[in-house]
Amino acid sequence: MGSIAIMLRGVYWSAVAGLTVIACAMGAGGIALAHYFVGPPLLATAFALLAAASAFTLDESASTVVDVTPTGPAAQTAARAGALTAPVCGGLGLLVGMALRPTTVPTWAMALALIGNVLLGFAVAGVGRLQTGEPGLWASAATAFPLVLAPLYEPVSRRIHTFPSTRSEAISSNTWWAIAATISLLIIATAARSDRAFR
Amino acid sequence: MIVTAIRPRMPGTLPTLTWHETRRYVRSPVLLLALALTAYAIYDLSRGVVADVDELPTYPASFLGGFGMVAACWLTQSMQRSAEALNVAPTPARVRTSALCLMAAVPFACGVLSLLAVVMFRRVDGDWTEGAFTTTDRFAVLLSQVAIPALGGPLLGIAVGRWVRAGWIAPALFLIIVGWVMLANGLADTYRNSLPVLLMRMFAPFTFFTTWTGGGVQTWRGSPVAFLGWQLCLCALAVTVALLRDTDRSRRRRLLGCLFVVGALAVVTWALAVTGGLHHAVITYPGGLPQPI
Repeated sequence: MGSIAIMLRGVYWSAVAGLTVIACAMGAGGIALAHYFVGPPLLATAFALLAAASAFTLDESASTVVDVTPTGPAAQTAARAGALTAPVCGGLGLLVGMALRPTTVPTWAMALALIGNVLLGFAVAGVGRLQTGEPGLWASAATAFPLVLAPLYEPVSRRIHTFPSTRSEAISSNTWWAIAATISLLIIATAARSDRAFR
Repeated sequence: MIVTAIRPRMPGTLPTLTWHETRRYVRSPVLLLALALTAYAIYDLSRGVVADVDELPTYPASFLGGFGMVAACWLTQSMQRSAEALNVAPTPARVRTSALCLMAAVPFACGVLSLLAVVMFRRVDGDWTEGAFTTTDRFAVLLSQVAIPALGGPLLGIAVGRWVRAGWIAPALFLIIVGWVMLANGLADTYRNSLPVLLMRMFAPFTFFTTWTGGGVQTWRGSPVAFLGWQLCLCALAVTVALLRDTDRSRRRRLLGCLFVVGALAVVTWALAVTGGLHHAVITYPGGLPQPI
């Protein structure tokens, strides 16, 4: 317990908390406007920001020292996963807010999208962590930008839905996030077993 | 003994620095991605007739402006990481900032090329699809949606990068701007004649003036020409704010005066953008005259 608390002290909390707060503010706007067509895109952007926040949880500025300690990468990753509570709690708040409003978007579909977003950001950061001590910046950009721009970019949005919607002419968000979450879990498990000390 | 430190005159420092910063900027993977996505979007959407004329200009603004902002911010922040070495060099900080600002000419040139491509290759059903605007207003809309964001985005990135060290700020700022534009334009789609919504819509670095409704094109309130002036004022504000960092006292006073004047101009152009143009939204159908909504 003590070692987990020590490892969590090294988390880049200003980025994780800052992005989570911005996501919650944007998501609150989306919930308030849930019955307008702008509501779901705002919520999708908020979820993408939560993915960006989760990508910063693996940042370790003292990685040159930490990576050669006896604590293995799996234990470090597991401890850092505790920092995911911030974006997950922010997302749960948005889910509760959405559940209290009578909308056509099912809550469980949004929950799946939340899990997928957070795991995707963490997985991309996990891969980046094999190469650098602070992968958060690039991982968050690589995760959040495609997630925000894909629904706005017509060639992509007509094929894949990255947020729950009633349209059915493309791959549904449930399918997309179920696949993304499964692959992300596999990537996280593989990356956590890799040795970072000899990169 | 009086020792006088004389800063050696460095002829050609600014062009040299501008050249180096431009080379670093165009090698940025984020900017390269933005250029590739812009080119593909223009190619993809100019293959057929587009129903919504606003669809195509969104991509250069998002990619060259948004991604360009992130790339410029990270490039500027990288200068802070090597500050110990740079601060002993005879080049003052304002020259380095000026070089970064001049570097923004590259994305702006790409924005102008995108504008030319949009004008030349975009196929629409007719002039009516561009809303109830004069030719000048139509050109101002395109300029404000395609070319100016490609200049303003990187300048904003440089200003943010000069003052803030955290790298996550730039992507977060981009997403906040995207969220704000979506919110303001989404509300405008429902409350077309609302003044508070119009104020919100114009208080943004990017906005839409028309929307496609399936059968016709709605033209919203607001003056495109004045909005263009507002965007240029935002660009000037970004440059001034960037130059304010690490400047000496005399220059700081002049820059603060400049900031005050440009800020006042920004308020005036914003007010003109809100009060100018149509006084209520109209809808245009093929072959018909604009009708009030």
